[in-house]
Amino acid sequence: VDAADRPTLGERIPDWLVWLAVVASMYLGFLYAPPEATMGDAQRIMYFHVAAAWNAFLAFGVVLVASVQYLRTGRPGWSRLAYASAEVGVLFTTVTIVGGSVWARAVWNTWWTWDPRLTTTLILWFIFLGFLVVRGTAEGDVGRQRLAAVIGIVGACVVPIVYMSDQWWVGLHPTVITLSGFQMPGRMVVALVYSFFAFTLFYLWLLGRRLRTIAQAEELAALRERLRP
Amino acid sequence: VARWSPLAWMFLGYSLMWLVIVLYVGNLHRRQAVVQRELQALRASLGSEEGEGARAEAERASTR
Repeated sequence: VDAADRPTLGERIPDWLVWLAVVASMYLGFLYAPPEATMGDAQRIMYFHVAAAWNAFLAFGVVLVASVQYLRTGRPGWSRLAYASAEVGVLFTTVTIVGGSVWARAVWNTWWTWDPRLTTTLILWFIFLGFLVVRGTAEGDVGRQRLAAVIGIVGACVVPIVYMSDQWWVGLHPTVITLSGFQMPGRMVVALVYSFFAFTLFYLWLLGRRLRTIAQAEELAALRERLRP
Repeated sequence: VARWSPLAWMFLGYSLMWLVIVLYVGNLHRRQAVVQRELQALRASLGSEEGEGARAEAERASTR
């Protein structure tokens, strides 16, 4: 078995388990959690929105660790991990922004506003899009891979700013998770915590598959390079 | 403009979030299938000793 063919941790998670976990989180969000008093059912968007946001943070945290390790050791495996995690992080940030935008239209009567939390999230999204562009065109180019690692570290440093933005600056975005805990009733907390779990599983599953594809693509490129007359 | 119910917004929100997820996962599977197919085809064409050597070297390069 080739190294690039060995199953990663995420690939060991069965597909059915991931989809079942995500669908179960919808069940809890739709039927188990009570409707919010003022926002009604529109508030249920939060269960995907917040879980996706937290897993984007997790993904960018992995980018930070992998990028630092890559700059320290120069091992391509770390760069691949950062690349894969950043891509999944961008997916989750996109889900966060899309869901949040619909929620904002329902509750604030606007699709977008330059609220500190929204603005910093958008900045985070753009930084990691930049990371993907740089790293995606860095095949075999150590200089560009190192540049991507630096962008990844800078991007990950924006995560705490996104988290603290609604406490540092005045904004509209509700704060459901503070340093002192969840600001919501018990059944909502259960649904939200379960959504975190389901999305973390989903993150690992996606990460494993993306890592494998990157490793195989690099092996393919190396083979083609070797065989070039 | 007709005002939507909170339930309709919820369905719109989940539909769009699922759309993003499904598009990404579909694209990921497609990329995975293309790379895997091309890699297998190239490996199959590398039956010779020289090809095996090149493959091992490429594999070492990709796993370092």
